[in-house]
Amino acid sequence: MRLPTPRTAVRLLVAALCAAALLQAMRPTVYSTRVGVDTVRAAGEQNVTRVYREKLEYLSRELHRQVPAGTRIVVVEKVVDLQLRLVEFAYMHGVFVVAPEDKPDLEIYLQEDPAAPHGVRLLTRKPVTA
Amino acid sequence: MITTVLAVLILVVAGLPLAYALTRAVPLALVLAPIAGAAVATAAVLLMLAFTGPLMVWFVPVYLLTGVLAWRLRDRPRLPSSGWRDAALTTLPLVPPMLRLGSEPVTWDTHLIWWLHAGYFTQGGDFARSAIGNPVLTFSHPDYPPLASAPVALAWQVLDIRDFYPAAFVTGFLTLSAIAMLVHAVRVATARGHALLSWPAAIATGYAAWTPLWIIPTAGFSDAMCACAFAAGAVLLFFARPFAGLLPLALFLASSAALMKNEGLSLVVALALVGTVKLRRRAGPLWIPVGVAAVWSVTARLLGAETDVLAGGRFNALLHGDADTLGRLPTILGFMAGRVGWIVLLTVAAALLGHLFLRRARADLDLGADGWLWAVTAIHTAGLVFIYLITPYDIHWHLSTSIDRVMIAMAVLSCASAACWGVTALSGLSAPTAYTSTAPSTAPAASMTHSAPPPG
Repeated sequence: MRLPTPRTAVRLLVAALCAAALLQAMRPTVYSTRVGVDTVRAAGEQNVTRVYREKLEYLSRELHRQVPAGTRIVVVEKVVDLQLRLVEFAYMHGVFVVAPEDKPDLEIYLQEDPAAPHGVRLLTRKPVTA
Repeated sequence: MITTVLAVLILVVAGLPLAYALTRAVPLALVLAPIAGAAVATAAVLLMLAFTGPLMVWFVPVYLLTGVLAWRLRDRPRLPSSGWRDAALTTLPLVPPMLRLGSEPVTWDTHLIWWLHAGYFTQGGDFARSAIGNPVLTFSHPDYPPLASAPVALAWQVLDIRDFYPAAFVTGFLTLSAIAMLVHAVRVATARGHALLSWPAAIATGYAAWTPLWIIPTAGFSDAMCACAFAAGAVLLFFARPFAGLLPLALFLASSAALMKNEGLSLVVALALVGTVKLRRRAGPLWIPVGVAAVWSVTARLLGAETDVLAGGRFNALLHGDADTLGRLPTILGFMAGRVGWIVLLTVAAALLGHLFLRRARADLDLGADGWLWAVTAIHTAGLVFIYLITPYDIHWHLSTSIDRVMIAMAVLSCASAACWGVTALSGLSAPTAYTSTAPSTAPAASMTHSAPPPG
């Protein structure tokens, strides 16, 4: 067996280093593919994330239905995640969110209600002035 | 499902004229169309913010202008590697890792940054201007550039919906387009190597967009699209064979990256600085992406948006050599190395060996010198380190919530270097093949071409 020349050996070494770097970088892609295949297989199945997404879409629709565009509101909600999501939905539907001291037209808040879709109702009320 | 398909269709149709003007080839234009559509929507958003009025009032004339541009440039030579087979090889391998796009679109950043911005863009200029300056929305970073949000706003507005899945697929196709353009750029740069080496190397570079965290390209973030669009532009500028038509495409990709994420500004500034050192007086066009980024930065500041990292940051403490601030450095570098350390180490080793022993082989492939891209990567990384040093947030929290995203640029730039050196190294083991591009070989040389390194 003939040994490679030094130049060929350098080429093989460079190629091996590049291949190692690229393979290392591709590892997460393989995992993403596996998760993606699982996602496609599980399409349509009920799961916790889907329930959460449907709840968010319901709250967005409710806000759109109850609060006219152009209204200045304040969001009264203790759960920070839901509070910020309601701010998002407000801006999607042309509703302006202001600080409580900036004279909002309405307050919106959530109330647990087992009879409501997703166990929660979006409600509005006139702000209570101090 | 139907609205999701229609939303993607709107994105592609919105971008097709501009993409065709840049490529003069329908197959490659279809690959580029999502980014071009987002750019057209972004131009409409910027005009809307400047002059007020509804989004569509500004979108229609901008769109018609791109149509006129496409018509006037139709006779220019088409870009290399722009046929149907090339477009298929560029995009189809990316489909499997993008399948996760079908998962539930509920991520925090996507909703509370990019889609919230899209939401106020749908409401017209006055509403959007008030929203950007509203201190209640500081958590949503209204200073972030509009390119990831504008196409979602366009699709929502045209379809009169505010649904999440169509938004997720618009964002996903935008990311797919950016990664595909990176694959295209590496393929164009290495086209003189054997196709069986060039294509796998290009596709592997595209796959690096999933590093360091696999979920980022499909979860609605704009980091992967920014990193890949920029890397595609930089590879075309520094590595690709001289061809006049590539310069506008490269500048378009870099400018788009500058409007996808704040880190895009750091990237295009690094590109312009390095390009100026390399090209001196001919480097003027490289400052166009910086100008584009500046337009947004000024607009956001004028409308009252603040950048949280810079407001109340530790810049003065850093200037005075504050031990606590400087003491963050090992933590920052440790986090960075933990994400892409091995990839960078292997690639730098390959690049150094290549620079010492394979420069002639690289010149034979018409591949531009590698050091310029590493200089851009180094300057951008220094910028990131600076931001982490002065951040007003707890450094561990800030790093743990962002490092996986901001390191994508370093991963794809390193892998682009690795791909080119890999093709160079292996091409020399067999006889080089003829250049088989569909581009005319007599095309005028670009003014921004690389100069081949001296034979090593």
